[in-house]
Amino acid sequence: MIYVDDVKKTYVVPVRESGIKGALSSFIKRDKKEIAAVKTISFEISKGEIVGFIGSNGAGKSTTLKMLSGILHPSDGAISVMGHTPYKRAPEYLKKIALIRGSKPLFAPADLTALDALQMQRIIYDLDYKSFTKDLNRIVDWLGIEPYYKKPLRTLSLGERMRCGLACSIVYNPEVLFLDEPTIGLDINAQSRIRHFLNEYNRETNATIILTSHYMEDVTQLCERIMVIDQGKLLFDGNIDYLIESLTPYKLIVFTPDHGSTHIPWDRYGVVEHEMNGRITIRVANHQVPAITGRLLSDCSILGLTVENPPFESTIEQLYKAEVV
Amino acid sequence: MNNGDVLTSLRLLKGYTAWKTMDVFSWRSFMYLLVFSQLITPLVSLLVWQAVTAQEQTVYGWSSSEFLVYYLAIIMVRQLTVSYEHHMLGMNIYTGEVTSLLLKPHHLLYSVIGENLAVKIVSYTVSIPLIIVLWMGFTPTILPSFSNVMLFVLTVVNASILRFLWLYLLTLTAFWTEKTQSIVNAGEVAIFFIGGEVAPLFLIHGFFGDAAYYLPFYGMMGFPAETLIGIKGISLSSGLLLQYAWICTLVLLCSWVYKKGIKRYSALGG
Amino acid sequence: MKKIALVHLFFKTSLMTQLPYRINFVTQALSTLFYFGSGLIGLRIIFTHTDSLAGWTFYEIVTLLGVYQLIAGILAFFVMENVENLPDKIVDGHLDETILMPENTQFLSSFGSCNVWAITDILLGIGIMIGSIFLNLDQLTLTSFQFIVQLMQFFVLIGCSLLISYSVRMWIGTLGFWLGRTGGGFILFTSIWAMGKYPVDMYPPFFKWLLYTLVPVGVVASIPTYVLFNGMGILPFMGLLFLTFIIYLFTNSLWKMGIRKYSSAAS
Repeated sequence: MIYVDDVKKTYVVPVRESGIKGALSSFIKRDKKEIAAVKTISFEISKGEIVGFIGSNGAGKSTTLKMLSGILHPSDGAISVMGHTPYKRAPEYLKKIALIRGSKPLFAPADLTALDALQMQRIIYDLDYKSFTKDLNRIVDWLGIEPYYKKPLRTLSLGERMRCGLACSIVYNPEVLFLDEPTIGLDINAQSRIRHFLNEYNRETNATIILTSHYMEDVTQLCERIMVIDQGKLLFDGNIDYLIESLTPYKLIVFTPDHGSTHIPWDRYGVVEHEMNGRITIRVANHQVPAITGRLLSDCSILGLTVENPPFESTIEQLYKAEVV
Repeated sequence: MNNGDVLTSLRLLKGYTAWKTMDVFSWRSFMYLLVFSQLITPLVSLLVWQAVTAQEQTVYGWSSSEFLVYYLAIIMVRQLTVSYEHHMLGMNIYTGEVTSLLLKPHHLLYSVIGENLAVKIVSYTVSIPLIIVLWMGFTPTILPSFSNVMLFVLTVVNASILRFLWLYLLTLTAFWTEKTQSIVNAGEVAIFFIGGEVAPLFLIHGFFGDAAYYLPFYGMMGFPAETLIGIKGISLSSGLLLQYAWICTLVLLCSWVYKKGIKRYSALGG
Repeated sequence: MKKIALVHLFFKTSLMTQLPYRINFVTQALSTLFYFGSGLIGLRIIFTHTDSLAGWTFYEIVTLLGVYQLIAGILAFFVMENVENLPDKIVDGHLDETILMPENTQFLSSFGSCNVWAITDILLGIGIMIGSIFLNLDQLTLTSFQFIVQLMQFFVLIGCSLLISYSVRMWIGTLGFWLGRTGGGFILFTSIWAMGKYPVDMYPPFFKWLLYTLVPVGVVASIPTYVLFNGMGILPFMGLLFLTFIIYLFTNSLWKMGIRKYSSAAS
């Protein structure tokens, strides 16, 4: 459904040296430099998938989203979304997609209400009045914006504004959602509500969702498939569990020995990650986990023991270090 | 004030002017557009009076050549007394950024005057060549005498101070209202309108015309312009008296309003 | 149809957001009166020393001032604010939301928020126009048919004037795609624009030529007002309509080029 084939994007930016000298020389002649924001990426996404885009700042995530939604014209390569070429911005295409940015969820003057913004969407997206009213009630309930969707936007908190922004987008039932950092700046509670909603929307409408995020939680909880972008290149594209498995092929055993066994050198069992308040974390290769656990339990007296996956952040860190998978 | 104080003040002023000049220079293209846009209205007035006197008519002894010199002088006065810093000051006051200026160990005026001079320096780099081009382009048949030119320079300096004080006074209203922008704009229109740009004041009859000679605006526009061609409205000494009297009055008014404003600002906490 | 519904909605929402700030109405009304009054007094002063300016009588020039006020008012009411914000929107990348909407982007960027208080300019302009038509009724030694033809021509030309005035401002805004913040251009243009408060015939040949061609200020108020009093032959009239059409087409294509540039380069 979404095909991205050898897409590149280069920007031309003016460069100048600092200080008076730089200012003067730029006054006479402006130096320009090409910067490749995206260097050749290709992928396919099928209908109903939720895909997470991760990568550090300036890695090319947002540029890719902008090219997919049609704001930017790729410098090279071809993109097709639902049979449309995005940058042509055909109205039929634009009616089927939504781009939502966590940093700027709503596109309306601050003195207006979310309801006003929704009314505007009705006209812009040619929505039928009757079904709009019906959908509106459903969406208001679904997102839980009932208490404040008739208040001026400037009085709303960021989380509330984000939910209103989602309402404005899904009111025209887009088949593809592009989300750029949807949970940025939100508290844990608000983050999980947004995630929960996205999951439901995907399940109910079978919409395709592509999101970028800095919060690994977003990705681990929502997406089965992730794409890791670094310096404009696709480092990884595939199942999230597989990524964890292959990059960090170890588990963490966290246990608390009783007071009598403090003298035991724990690195006999695995690499000691850290030790705090009597709680010990050791790193053990995947295939050794059952054996080591058994040995630990039989060798010493253990008060409590859990086996955990290493944090996702460290997986990603590994990925950047390794460069290739 | 002893010598040391004067030196410190000058050093401060020099520092602010240099610093602000760099700032203003960074948006010089905007300044240059303003220079050109400031040229238009006096030019229109000039062309209107040229149209009125097109067939060799004279109006109260002035033919088209006198009008030409007068309006070239008006354009010069307007460009040389240029002042935009009040827009920045007004914004700073009601966004509360003025707080950082108030915390400096000297009066707010140093940075405002520095900015005023900076605006003048940057704008002169275009307006002075422009004035020269206009003089050459229109080639007036009457040329001002040397003593008139010297008088013109003196009265323009006074006019600069007057215009600065007047706009600074209006800007201080930002401590009370958010409508400062409109007030300052209206104050500028008053300068050009009652000051002698629409028509030289001696052409305006009745109470309105007589009263205009006692307002500060004549001292900011019409009076310095008339010194270049030969004063028509009032005598030279009363014109200078008008300028100095208003400078003193405005200085007193400004410092009074400033004190009131600061009191209010610190009471409301911005 | 959809566009009309949208403009209606823009108007409604602007009204809702601006009505609470009643003080703005007072300021706007005062400044309208102030600027118009100063223009009027200026004219009065000039006309104490002459009977006509480039063949225009005092009343004709007052009418011209009214027409100018009306055009400026309508523009300020609907599009001015949006067009003047364009350069900043382009540079700061705030056009993304607009170009993702399934509606003409030029339309969405030109309309949006209405400055409802500009109604004072519109009302004053209409008042002056109607007043001066009635005052001059006896001077217009015309058959009623001729009068109606001139009136129709006048209204059509007001339409042209609006379109051209909008177009020139739109060029300045659109140039932002290539030149960055072109906001200063509006300030320069607005002051040149004010030259249209006087009959363009009054200016020396070189200025006259400039004001009829490069910066079509003459078309704004001078030509419609002239036509109201004197009528216009069919050929120049059609010529003006054609010219307006060309200018409008040019504005559209410039905008399209700009959008193409935006999506191929913006960051």
